[in-house]
Amino acid sequence: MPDSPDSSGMALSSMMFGIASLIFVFFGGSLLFGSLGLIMALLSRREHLSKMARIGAILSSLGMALTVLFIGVFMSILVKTGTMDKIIRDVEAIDASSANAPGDMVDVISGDIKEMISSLFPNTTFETHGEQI
Amino acid sequence: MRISEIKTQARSILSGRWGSFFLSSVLLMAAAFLINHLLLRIFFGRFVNRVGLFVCVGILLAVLLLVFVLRAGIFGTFLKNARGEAYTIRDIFSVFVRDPDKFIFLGLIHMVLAALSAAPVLLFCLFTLLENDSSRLLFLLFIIAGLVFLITMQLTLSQCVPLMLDEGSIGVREAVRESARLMKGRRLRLLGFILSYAGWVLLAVTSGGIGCIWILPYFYQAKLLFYKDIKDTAQ
Repeated sequence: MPDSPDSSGMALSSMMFGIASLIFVFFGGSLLFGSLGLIMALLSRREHLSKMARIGAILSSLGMALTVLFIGVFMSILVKTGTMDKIIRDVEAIDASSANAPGDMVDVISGDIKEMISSLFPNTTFETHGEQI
Repeated sequence: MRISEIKTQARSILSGRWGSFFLSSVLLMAAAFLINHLLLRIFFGRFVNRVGLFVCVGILLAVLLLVFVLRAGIFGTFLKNARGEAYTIRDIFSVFVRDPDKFIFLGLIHMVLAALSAAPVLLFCLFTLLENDSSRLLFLLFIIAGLVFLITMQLTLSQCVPLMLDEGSIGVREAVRESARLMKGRRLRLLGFILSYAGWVLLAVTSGGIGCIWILPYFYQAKLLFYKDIKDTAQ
C-alpha cells in the first residue's frame, strides 16, 4: 500500500525531530525532540515503517539514549563528588522550615476526626510522634 | 479483530485529519491540568479553615463532571470520524446542549463507584487512628481490593458513553445494562488494549505533554473502533 501524503509528512517530521534530538544532546531538549520523533515515526506506520520513518525512529532513539546516558554520568559525578548529599541536605532544610504549618488537608481532617472521637469517647488519648495528647 | 489491527485502522482513519483533533487534545490536556492543579491544592494547599477545603473539593467534583460531559462530546466527534461523517468544533460541545443530564448522571455513577472503592481504605485509616496501630500489609490489601473493584467497574461501564452517543434514544439504565452485556468476557481484552498504550504514555511524559496532541486522538479513535468491534461481534 503506498504511503499517504500525511503519512510521509509524519515520517519526514520524524527524521527532522531525530536529527534535532541528536544535535540537542549537548544543549538539552533532546528527550523532547526524541520523543516527538518517535511518536511521529510510530504514527506514520501503516503495515510497516517507511525508510524515512525508520531513520527518524533510530535517530530519535539514539538521541534519547545518549541523553539518558549523559544524565546517568552527570548524576554519578554528583554522587561521587558529594554534591548530591549537599543538595539533599539543602532540600531537607527547606522542607523542615516549611513543615508544621497548619492548614494541610491532613491536619484539617485529622483534627476533625480527633474532635469527633473525643466527643464520642471522652477518655480516648491520641499519640503524636510518641507524645500523648 | 486483533488489537494491532484496531490500532492500524485507527491510524489510517486519522491519516490527514490529525489537525482537526488539535482542539480536542488541547481541551483534554487543559482539563487534566486543571484537575491536577485542584488535587495538588487539596492535598498540599494551605487552608485557614475547612470551608476553603470543602469549596475546593466542590469545585473539583464540578470540574470532574464537566470534563466527563466534555469527553463524551469529544468521543462523539471520533464516532462521526469513524462513520466518515463531517464534524465541526460545535460537535465537541453538542452534549452540553443535547441530553447533558444523562451524561451528568452517568458521571455521578462513576464518581460513586470511585468513592465506594476508596471507602475501605478510608475506614481503615479511621480504624488505625482509633487503635493507634498501623498495619501496612492490611492497608495495602485494602488499596489493592479497592483498585480491583474500581478497574472492574470502570471496564464494565466503559461502553456506556459510546452506546449513548451511537444510539441517541438509549437511557442511562439501558446503557449500563448493555455495556455490562457487551463487556462480559471481554474485560481483560480491553484492559490489555489500554495497557498497550503504556509506552505511548511514557512518550507523552518525556515529550513534556506535547505528544498528547497526537496520542490522545489516536487512543480515542482506537477505543471507539474497539467498541464497534465488540458491538459487531456481539451482534
